[in-house]
Amino acid sequence: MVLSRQILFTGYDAIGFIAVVAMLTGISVVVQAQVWMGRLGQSELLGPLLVTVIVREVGPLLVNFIVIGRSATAMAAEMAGMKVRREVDVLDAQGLDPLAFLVMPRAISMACCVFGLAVLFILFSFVSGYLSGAFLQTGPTDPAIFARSVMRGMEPRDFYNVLAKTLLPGLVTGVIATNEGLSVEGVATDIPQAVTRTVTRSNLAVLIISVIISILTYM
Amino acid sequence: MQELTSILEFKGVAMRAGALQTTGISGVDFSMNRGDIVLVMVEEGREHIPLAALAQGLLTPDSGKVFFNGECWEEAGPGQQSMMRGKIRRVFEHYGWVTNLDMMENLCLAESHNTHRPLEDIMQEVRSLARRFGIEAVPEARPTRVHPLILRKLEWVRAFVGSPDLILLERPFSGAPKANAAQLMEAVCEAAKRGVAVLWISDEPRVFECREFACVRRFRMDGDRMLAEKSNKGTST
Repeated sequence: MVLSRQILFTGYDAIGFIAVVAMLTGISVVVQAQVWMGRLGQSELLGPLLVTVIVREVGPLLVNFIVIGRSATAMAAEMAGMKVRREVDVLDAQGLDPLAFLVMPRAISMACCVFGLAVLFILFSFVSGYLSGAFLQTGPTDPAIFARSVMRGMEPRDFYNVLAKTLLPGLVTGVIATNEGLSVEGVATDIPQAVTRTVTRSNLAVLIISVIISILTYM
Repeated sequence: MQELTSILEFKGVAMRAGALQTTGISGVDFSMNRGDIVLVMVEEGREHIPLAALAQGLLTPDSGKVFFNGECWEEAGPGQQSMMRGKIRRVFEHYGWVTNLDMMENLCLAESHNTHRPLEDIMQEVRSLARRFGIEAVPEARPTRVHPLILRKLEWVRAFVGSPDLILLERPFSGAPKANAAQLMEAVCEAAKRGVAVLWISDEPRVFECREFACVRRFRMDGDRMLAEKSNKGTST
């Protein structure tokens, strides 16, 4: 029940916004890459470049940041509100372990949703990039050529990279958000501070994890 | 063997007034067996006493020990404590709902989490208990959208769902229509006959004076001390 609701809120409800951001990112990144690679006479490197920028870095990072801004903040505020209203005690009094009932489902759903949204983000970016490139005549009009170019740049380790850069930060973000929310000690004025701490700590954690995974995967 | 174990036992429990409870208690000593009803009379307007929270192991006493089903709360690990609390139902003195769940989810939560009963079966019992307390249909809204009178009666419903070992009633009539008091007292009698121990903290003299309860002990809070009434009927200590 809790898990499915969290997936609905963090994942399904965010698809529209992620799609818009992905399309805008795709248009700006893909078109620019096509223009510059064309000028440098390196059009064959378009695929690897797009994979490096969108699949390896921008996609997972942007999705993580969006989920932190959209869902982790809400999660921290929800947890803090429950703590202030003593609802966590109510759960505890009914034999429900707050860790199992509140923290675990949220952290797991956050990880799954960040991964799912990142996959969608990458797909939307490439589709919108191809379409805008074809429309502005900066790139190939044949979708097969564009797709082959991108696929040539993909390596098996890119899959593991996306997996690690979404599941791990998602899990950590979920834990940080719930933990910060539950650390509020019964005063409503502490809720905004818990939300602020969630944003700063989650963003920092995402960047650190992303850097470590990049180094481990590609260096 | 199980019959010999008290459901709830307070041994020399004392607790200073603090942030989570507004008045302290000292020298609290009593035990409850299956089917026992313990009434604790507090004067009207008295601040919250931490008996129920101590009985559930949610607070740790400053001195003394509290046992549930023979297990000391302080010695049980977090997982075991949750399992033990799953056998206790409670009417909270203050707000006792989870706001982001609707009423039916709230009412079924403890029973569905702590037992293997099918949800539909639990919901059926909830509806039946609600009708017993005069609520024809359980509201679908979340607790903040439900009238406080209905909310209070739904707390009664939640307390009687399933087969708990212990029911804690903290001033269950506060905010409830006086006319429904008999329904709750009748439900308590029936639960006690089924072997459920009931600890009832009340500021209503009619509860204290009710002679329909079969195996009952009566206590009265005098300052921070809990004094046994001499006119107890059918009691052991």
